[in-house]
Amino acid sequence: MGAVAGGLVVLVAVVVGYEVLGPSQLPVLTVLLAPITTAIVGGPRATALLGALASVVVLVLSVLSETISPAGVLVRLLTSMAVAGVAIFLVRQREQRELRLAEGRTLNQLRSLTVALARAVSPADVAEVMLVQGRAAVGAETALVYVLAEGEMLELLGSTGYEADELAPFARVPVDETLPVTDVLRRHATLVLDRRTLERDYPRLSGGTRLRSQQVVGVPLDVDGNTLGVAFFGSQRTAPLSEHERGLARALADQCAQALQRSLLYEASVRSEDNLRTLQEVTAELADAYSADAVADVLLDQSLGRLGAVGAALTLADREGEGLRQVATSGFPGGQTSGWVPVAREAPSPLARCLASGDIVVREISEPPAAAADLPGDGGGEASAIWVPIPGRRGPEGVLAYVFAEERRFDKASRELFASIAAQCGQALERARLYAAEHAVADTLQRSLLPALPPRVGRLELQGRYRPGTVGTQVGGDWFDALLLPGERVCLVVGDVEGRGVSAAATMGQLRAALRALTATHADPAVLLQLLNETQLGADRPMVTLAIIVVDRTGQATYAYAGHPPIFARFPDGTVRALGGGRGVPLGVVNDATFRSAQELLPAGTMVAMYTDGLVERRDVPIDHGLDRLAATLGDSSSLLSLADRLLELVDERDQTDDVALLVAEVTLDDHRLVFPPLRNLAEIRPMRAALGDWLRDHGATEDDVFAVTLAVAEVAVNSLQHAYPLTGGSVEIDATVAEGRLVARIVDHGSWRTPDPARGGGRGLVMLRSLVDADVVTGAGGTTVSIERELGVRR
Amino acid sequence: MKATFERPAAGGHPVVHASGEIDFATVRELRHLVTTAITPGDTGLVLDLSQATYVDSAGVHALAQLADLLASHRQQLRLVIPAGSRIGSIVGIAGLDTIVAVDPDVETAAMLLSRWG
Repeated sequence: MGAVAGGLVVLVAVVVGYEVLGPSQLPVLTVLLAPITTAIVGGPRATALLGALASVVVLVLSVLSETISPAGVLVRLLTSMAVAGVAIFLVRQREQRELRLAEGRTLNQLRSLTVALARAVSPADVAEVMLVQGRAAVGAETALVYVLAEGEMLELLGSTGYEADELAPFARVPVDETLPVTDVLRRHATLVLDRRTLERDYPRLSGGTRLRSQQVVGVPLDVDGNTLGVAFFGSQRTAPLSEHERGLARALADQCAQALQRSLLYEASVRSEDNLRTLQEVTAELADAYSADAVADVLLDQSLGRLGAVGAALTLADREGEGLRQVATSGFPGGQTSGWVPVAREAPSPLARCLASGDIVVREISEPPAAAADLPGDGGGEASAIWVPIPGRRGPEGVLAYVFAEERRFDKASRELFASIAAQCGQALERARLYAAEHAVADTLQRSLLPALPPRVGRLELQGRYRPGTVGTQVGGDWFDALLLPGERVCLVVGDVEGRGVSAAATMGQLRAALRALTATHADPAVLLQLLNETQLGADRPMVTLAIIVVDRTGQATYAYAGHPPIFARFPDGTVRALGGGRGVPLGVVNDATFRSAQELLPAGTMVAMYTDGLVERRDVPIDHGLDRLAATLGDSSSLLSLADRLLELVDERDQTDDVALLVAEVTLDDHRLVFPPLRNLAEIRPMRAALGDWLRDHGATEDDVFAVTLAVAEVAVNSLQHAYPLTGGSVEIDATVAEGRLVARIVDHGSWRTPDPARGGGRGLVMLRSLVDADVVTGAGGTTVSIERELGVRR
Repeated sequence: MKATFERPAAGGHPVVHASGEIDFATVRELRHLVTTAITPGDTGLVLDLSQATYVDSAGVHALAQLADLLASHRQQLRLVIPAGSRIGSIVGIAGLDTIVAVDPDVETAAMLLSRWG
């Protein structure tokens, strides 16, 4: 523009001067006007030179045409040179003014950059400012910001001027790779690279993407000599950077580096606060988890959202040390599962690697799916996942795995969080085991104090149950007993010694022994209570409540109470009522207490329920309510076994804190059916076998029959107890019937059937079973029922 | 189960007598006793089951394992099970008699052990 304007001004001046002064003064005008105009209007130096050249040409032409003398030429030339000197001075002045203006603009840009950076909180915010403002400041078309992650990886924080997926191959760059960004990091200096250098020195660049810039400038983002990252700007210019431009780029980078450091520190503190809070919450919840199931529930269900995961699996090493069992999973199709999952330890799966190495294994980006059984529902391997070893006393005892909806990174802080959670999980599992063990000790002690109730005494079929309270691990003073009295009478007792602990248990034992002795000579419950009361008097004797009922072979029953809740009966016509007579005070309270007996006829088919107050009583619920539920349950139970179980369910669903002892009985006509109380541990197998053998002999079985049937039933029961309940203890129910000389026994568990492993000798039991008896195995979702049949009394 | 270990007389072989019930609850004890009864350099060991009344699959499995154990010592396990015994039928059903030698009495077993050596 300056050149055109300057040219126009010169042209106008020449035309006007020619008209006014005449042709002889024209060269002078030209010589004077051209440089002056150029300097004033502000054209580039080239225009001034052109103007000067034009003046010289006009001057030479004037001399040749002899319009002016050579002396005149010399004078005019000197004048012209002086004027040109002034003009050049003016041009210099102008240029310096412009430079100052440009510096002012740079300063302004830096200032507004600083303001914008001050508002940036996250590293992404900082990157955004750098990309937009930085790019404008240095006049670049493309810009990139990398941040150094954990000292070994450069991660792309942001970019501008590129296609969406163009930079995907360069999203994460190991620091030892040869790329411009790593070179800036290594050399710790600003790098200016032209297109040829880029193509020559970095084959990976031109191989993967289209090089769009003629020149790129890489600046390290340094704070106090620490490099946090690298910024890159690309442009189409080819001229080298001026000193001023380099300075600008460095100043920009310094500003950004400081902001980046601030934002990284801030982010780390927020994340560690988040992690700490998550860890605290999980730890608090685990503190209340007293079983492996509860631990799994906290880690797999309640914590999923908090950890940002969509699925999880808890896998524990088999206690026998052979396999692994997937205890529980959640967030996968099919929901929560629990049971044995065969996971080969040697498989090259992340799970196996994690367990073998004891290190965290992560999958950050998509990979082809690993072993199918590794993470249920994780067939695609389409998202990130983490496998964390659960520390145990001797190396990892299991693996906690989480799957996420999207790809994500696991930085040092998040790995530490998951490791802490796994450590908490290990401690919680250990706690749960200890608690279960302690609880089991009290439970076992209690059960050992209670009689091993035979399934049948005289005409009465019996089921006894004991449920320890949920708090404390001390033995309680609740008990039941069934005694066969002279004259085929059966005496049933349920009692409750006040208090807990060894002294309550000792009192219970004394009372049981005393009652056994007394029933040899006495059969009237009132008399028995009176005699027992005398043994219970004394300064430090605890209070005892008791219910006694004696049933003869005709079904005539006599009963009496010592401060105990009433026996309930369901008669064959369906009526349910309490046996309300025979009330008396608890033992150990009154010196000369008198007790009265009451009578009741219990026809065949009558069921009775005796219990301790924990069954019907709770602080916040009136006892009538509990009695109503007891009566209702008694009214609609189809069998003695289901009655016993359903009454216990009443206890369980209320989270009963007190102990409960329960004895239910049915008056029967025939004795061709034998129902065992549910078996819970292996120690109960032998008494079961003995009782089953006796009963079989009474029903025409030969010794071969007894041998075959007891072996078969015991094999199945042992298998169920050992393998059907990997996580929680369970029970095995056994019943047997003889009809027309054929025995049918059923063994039912509610766990998962484990196919016998021949390598461990597991298959033998089944083979033996089938050669001894006809056996039928039916496995369903709710458990396994094995039916065994055999013709009795046949000589084989 | 009751099990006793008879130290071999001069020139004799170790004999373990196991009576009563051999099941999941007692196999550990039996395994331990037989393992300690193995005499280095001998040709084998006699396990007398003539007074045993019951053997379940865990028992059968343990017997098979013991036979393996002895074989690894280059020795032989000989079971004593009288003819017609129910233990014998279980051992037969489980196919144990195909891998372990079964004799009717301790004397026969001891004699065959000496010959086998």
